[in-house]
Parts: sequence; C-alpha cells; structure tokens
Amino acid sequence: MDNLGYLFAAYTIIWAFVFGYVFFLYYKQRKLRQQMDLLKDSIGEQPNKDVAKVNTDDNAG
Amino acid sequence: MDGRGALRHYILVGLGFALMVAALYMVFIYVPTDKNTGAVQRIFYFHVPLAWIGFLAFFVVFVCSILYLTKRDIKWDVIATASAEVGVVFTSLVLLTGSIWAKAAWGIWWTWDARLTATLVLWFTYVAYLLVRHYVTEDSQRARLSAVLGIVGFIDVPIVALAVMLWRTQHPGAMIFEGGLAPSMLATLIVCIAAFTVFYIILVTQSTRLKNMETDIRDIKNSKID
Repeated sequence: MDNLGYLFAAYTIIWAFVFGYVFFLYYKQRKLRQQMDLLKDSIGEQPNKDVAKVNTDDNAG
Repeated sequence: MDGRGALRHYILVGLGFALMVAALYMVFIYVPTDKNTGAVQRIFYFHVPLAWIGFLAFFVVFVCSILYLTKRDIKWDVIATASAEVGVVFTSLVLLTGSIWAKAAWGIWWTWDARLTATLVLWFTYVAYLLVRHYVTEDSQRARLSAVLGIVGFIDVPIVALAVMLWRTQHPGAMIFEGGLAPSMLATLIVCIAAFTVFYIILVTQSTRLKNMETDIRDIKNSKID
C-alpha cells in the first residue's frame, strides 16, 4: 500500500465509524418512537399524565 | 423538541457541517504536503482532534460522575453515559488511524510504546464502563458503579497526554505546543478540532435525549404493570 492508500484507508474508517454511529442513533430513535406510539395506542384516547409527561420531555429535547 | 430547542439543534448541525466542509477543504487542498512523511501526514489533522475530543468526552464523564455521586441526580448519569459512548467511538478511531499512520511511518501496525499502550488501556477502561452499564440491571447500583469507574478511569487521561514527556516513546512529541507546526498546518488543525467539538456536542445531545426517552418509556411500562 502506498502513502495515498494509507490515507484513503484512514479517512474511510473514520467516516464509516461516524456514519455507523449516527445510523445507530437514528435506528434507536425510530425504535423508541415506535414503542411510544404503541404505548399511546395501548393507553387509547384516555388522557394520562404519564403520557403527557413523556410528550413534554420529548419535546423539551 | 420545542421551537427553541429545534432552532438550537439546526444551528449546531449547520455550524458543524460548515466547519467539517472547511476542515476537509483545508486538509486536502489548502495545507501543503509534509516534506518528510508525504500525503499520509494528512491523517494527523483528524487523528489529533479525535484524540482531543476523546479526552474531552472522558473529562465530561469524570465531571458528571462526580456530580452524580454528590447530588444523586440521574441526569448527570445520563450525560456521562452519552459522553462515554461518544468517547469510546472517537478513541477507537484514534487507535485505528494511529495504527494506519504507524504502518506508513514506522513500518509496523502496533508497538507497545507508552502512549499507544496507555491509549489502549483508556479504551478498555471505557469499554468496561459501557459493559457495566449494560450488565448491571438495578438503576442506582448501575449509576453508582459506573460513576466510580468513570472517575477512576479518568486517571489514565493525563497519563496518555503526558506519556510522550514522561517516557521515551516512538510516538511524536508535543510539537503543537512547542511551535513545531507551520501556521497553515496549525490553522487546519484548529478548524478540525472546532468541527469535531461541534460534532461531539451534537452527538452527546442527541444520545442524551434518546436515553431520557428510553427511561420515560420504561417508567410508563413499569407503571402500567404495577
């Protein structure tokens, strides 16, 4: 491998890890949103202070 | 996210993106090629910021762990975990890019040099931190144990930083502080550090938000079971 090969390898690994971690966070967020929707469905239209709390916390970011 | 939170998030993402584009332009176009080591020296501009941000991440773990143990507020435990996670990702990249650079510069992938070994120990320590969090199921016990590990593990950070001064190592010395860098190289390095710092803040904020969401969902599930 020449010098450029090493340079290419290093930057490829960096971006692969970075995108991998960002994708992991995105996947986790999608899964949590699905769980949240399921919980809301299971609770139904009935107002619930716990659900209201989650919504507030989620919105507060 | 509320309106202000979303605006703050988008400003950070925009700033991070602009800085990263500027960093890549400077690394690959603006800065001249090093006379001695050639193109491979350009690994340095991402390798060093990754290491510094790794240190910053573990420093945040250290501070948040102390705050958790003194105040017993779970929010510090959540921030510490998010920061440790990002720190492990960045330190993994430091070890990998360092190894590639070592192969190009020294002809070997790895040597048991003081700086390299201390960095590997640091990586193992915070991987252990994340494993403790994964395997201990009781909330307060997990937070307490990981806080202790987060504080003790930080001892290795100054050892890694000072290893090049304390021992004879193969790893290059602290040439940044000794004025060994040309102004264009220093400017490139500073822009790269700024880009990765913003990136670190975005990742920790997002990870913290997800962990809070996870806790809320678990609490609601538990309250439904009760």
